[in-house]
Amino acid sequence: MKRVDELQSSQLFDNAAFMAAAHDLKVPLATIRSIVLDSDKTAAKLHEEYQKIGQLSDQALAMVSDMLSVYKLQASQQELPLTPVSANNELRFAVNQAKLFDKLNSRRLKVEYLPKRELSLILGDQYFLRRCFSNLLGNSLKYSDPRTKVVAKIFATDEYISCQIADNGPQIMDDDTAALEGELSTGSTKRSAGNSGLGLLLTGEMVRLMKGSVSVDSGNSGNFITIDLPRVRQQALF
Amino acid sequence: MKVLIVEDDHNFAKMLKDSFLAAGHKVKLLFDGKQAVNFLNKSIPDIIVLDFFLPGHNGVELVHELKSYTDTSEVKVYLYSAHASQIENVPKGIISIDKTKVTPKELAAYASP
Repeated sequence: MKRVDELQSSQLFDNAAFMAAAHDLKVPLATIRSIVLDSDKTAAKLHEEYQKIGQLSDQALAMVSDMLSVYKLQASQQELPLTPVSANNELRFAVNQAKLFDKLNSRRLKVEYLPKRELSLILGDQYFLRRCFSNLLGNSLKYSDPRTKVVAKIFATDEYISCQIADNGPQIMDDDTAALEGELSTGSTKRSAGNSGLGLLLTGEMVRLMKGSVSVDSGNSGNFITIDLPRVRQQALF
Repeated sequence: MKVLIVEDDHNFAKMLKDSFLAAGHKVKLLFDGKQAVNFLNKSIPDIIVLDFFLPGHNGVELVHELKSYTDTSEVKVYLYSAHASQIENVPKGIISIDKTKVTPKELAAYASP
């Protein structure tokens, strides 16, 4: 393996994912820096600002963890160990996280879980599933019209447990669709939705590592992102 | 002065708005490029602060759009982005400012006469 200093600089900076990561990590860090340096020093405001700093740090750390987790598997070419994971539970976790991070915006969230009589177990990875739900919910809440609802729904077929995030926001751009499907646009200034698409790229990668798939349906009637993951049937558990 | 801020990150947008209000300016805050274009069709501000990565139009495209209107020679435009040093094709006369090095309060102070 070459040392970093032996690599041509162009090899590093041609990597679109690297550039995307650099931007998406700089933004929360720049925000934290500005909060700290510009803050109003009254006690009440400081508490609110420290909470915000904590949330932004968590966001940036989660992004780095996602990147390292995906990269480690891809670099080692190993299969992700898959175990039964409850889609209902992980969606519930992601929803609660969204409510903690953005109390006001998360009031727009409407959630439909799979009924208790049905098993919502998928063969997957708990961390990855949680992160996928968090990324998609976060994106929808952030970029859709604040006056509209975001609906997260879990439903089942014989083969799959599906989770769909739907919103009435602006049409999902081709760049974001491509990112979910595994292509990060290179060298283009036409980034969509105000970010580099890195979060969606990582979501797509995590779903594929769990042997699932992502589909995007975006148009005048709204945006629907659906994750399909292999279902664990009850008899298979015994 | 009338300041138009176009910033899709809500945390940063609020800090920018508060900083320019505290500096005594009137502020219009928008969150995407399309809203900004619609706004500029009706009103030309004195100062524009915009991010590079925006929904709709990116910051450089917005500036090109602005140049197509008449009477924009006096408008000061600041491209305020975490990606400032990597942005290409920035039109002449636009001041590119690195968000990771300059806080909103510092920018408001710098941009004020």
